[in-house]
Amino acid sequence: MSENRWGYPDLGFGVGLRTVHYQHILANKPAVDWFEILSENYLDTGGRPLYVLDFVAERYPVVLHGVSLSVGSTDPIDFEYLRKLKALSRRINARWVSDHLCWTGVSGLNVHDLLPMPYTDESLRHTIQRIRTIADYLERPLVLENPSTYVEFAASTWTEWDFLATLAREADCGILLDVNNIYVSSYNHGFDPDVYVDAIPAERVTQLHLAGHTNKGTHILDTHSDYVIDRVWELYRRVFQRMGGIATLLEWDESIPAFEVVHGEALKAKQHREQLEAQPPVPLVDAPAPEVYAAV
Amino acid sequence: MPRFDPGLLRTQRWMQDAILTPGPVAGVPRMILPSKTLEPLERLDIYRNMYVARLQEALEVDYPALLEYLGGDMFSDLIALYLKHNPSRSYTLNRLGDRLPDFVRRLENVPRPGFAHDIARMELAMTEVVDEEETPALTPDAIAAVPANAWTTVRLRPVKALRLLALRYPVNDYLNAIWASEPMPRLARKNTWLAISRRNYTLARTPLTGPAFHVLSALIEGRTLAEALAGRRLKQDQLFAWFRDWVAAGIFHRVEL
Repeated sequence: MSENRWGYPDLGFGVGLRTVHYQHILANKPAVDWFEILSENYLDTGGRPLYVLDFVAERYPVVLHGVSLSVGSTDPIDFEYLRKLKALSRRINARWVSDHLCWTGVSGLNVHDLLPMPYTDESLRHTIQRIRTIADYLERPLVLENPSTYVEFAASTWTEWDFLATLAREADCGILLDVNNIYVSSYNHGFDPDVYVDAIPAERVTQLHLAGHTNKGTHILDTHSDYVIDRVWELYRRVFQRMGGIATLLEWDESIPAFEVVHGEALKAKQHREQLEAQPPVPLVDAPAPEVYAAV
Repeated sequence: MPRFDPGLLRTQRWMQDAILTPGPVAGVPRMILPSKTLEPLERLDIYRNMYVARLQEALEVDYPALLEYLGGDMFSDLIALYLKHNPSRSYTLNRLGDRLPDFVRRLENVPRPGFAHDIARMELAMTEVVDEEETPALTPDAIAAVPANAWTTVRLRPVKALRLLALRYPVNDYLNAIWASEPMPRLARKNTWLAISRRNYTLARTPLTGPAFHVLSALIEGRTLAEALAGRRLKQDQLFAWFRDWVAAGIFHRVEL
């Protein structure tokens, strides 16, 4: 089994905390290993969402997962947002704080989408500096997720996996490896998802995401609206073989079924791991690190 | 063809403008690569289409009665126009619709804009009350502790999760009919008054009479009971009944002697 850089624990198999499941969780206290919450849903409310969150945080490990950090944006860092994020993470004793390798807006606006970065030297240098600043403020490592993307910029000179691996090493941040997103982007951009998985430095990977998606034929949308497909389970097994047991979370955000269905899908990951653990171990070999960006 | 890199700042401004502005986009083939199945503009359009859809979905959650009243097509047109003039500047979608009531009132093509405005005001107040900080409601012990001769001079402080609305249309009845799948009430103009509050994380909409609204408004503004009642002819039984209802709804937080 590998261990990530900060010794963050393998929390087991969790699910995202969603409003439609509040009543079930309050009434039944289901036997879930851990919950991930969407940070922005709890930053500015004193109502029922915060009450439920406190209830959950008293009983389960909780991880904060944001969508508005905009770590790659050229706008100034929003320290008021960070102040609230830090306070929330302390309130619920968040095991770690994650967001996405993306930007969500510029010129003071927010389009509320995980917009893709051009993978250039400039982007890398810019994002590394911001991650360091944010981690210093939060007084904890930042964990960043690879997003699903639908465009590739002509300006890009890095592959996404080399960009992410280098970013994580140089900025000293963690990686939330979304296995479904790797598959979605590989379909949309035509790369080999196995190559992506093999290039990620295992010691940086703090958490894994799994989800379903919507295949439109010409492209795939990361809708979190369905069961995990077999090819993504194959990738998950590859990740386990390379990196060992890592906290795994099942996301389901559209057409959300009953809690037991979502939790049952998360527990399929446990079955895959148990099957692999029963097999002879495969030695962990990291892909060679890409050339480190010299100016950082 | 040489690689085109306008830099991170210009790339982000270009892409954001493309997402926020419907219609043709300049420079797409230079900025974005094609995939095996999609042209550069088709790839960019995935983000452009998701933008309005995502934000409209968020506003549909906050304004279900306005959606019901206007219908899907008119609501979509309204939201597209609203977002053009009120793009999000916040990390949260929770307050994206805060300017929608005033925006609706100024539109000329909305049927009965006054009615639509009142619906939107009520639904905005409901979202505000949902998110307000929880403050405990006045307890029977706290009420019992007030000396009988002190009631005229006490000040009653409300819970934070409270909004009072004076409305020109019976929009609370309209919302009740929607939720109960009952026939819609007449949309004729009629002054109504409403308290929207939250107790134990449950939202309550309490219809008020005009006099009750004015007395309660005065109390919430910090006036004493004597000041709030000044110039009003009220039977004591009426006042006691109001007070009992307001306490039961958890409207007051504490008594200041």
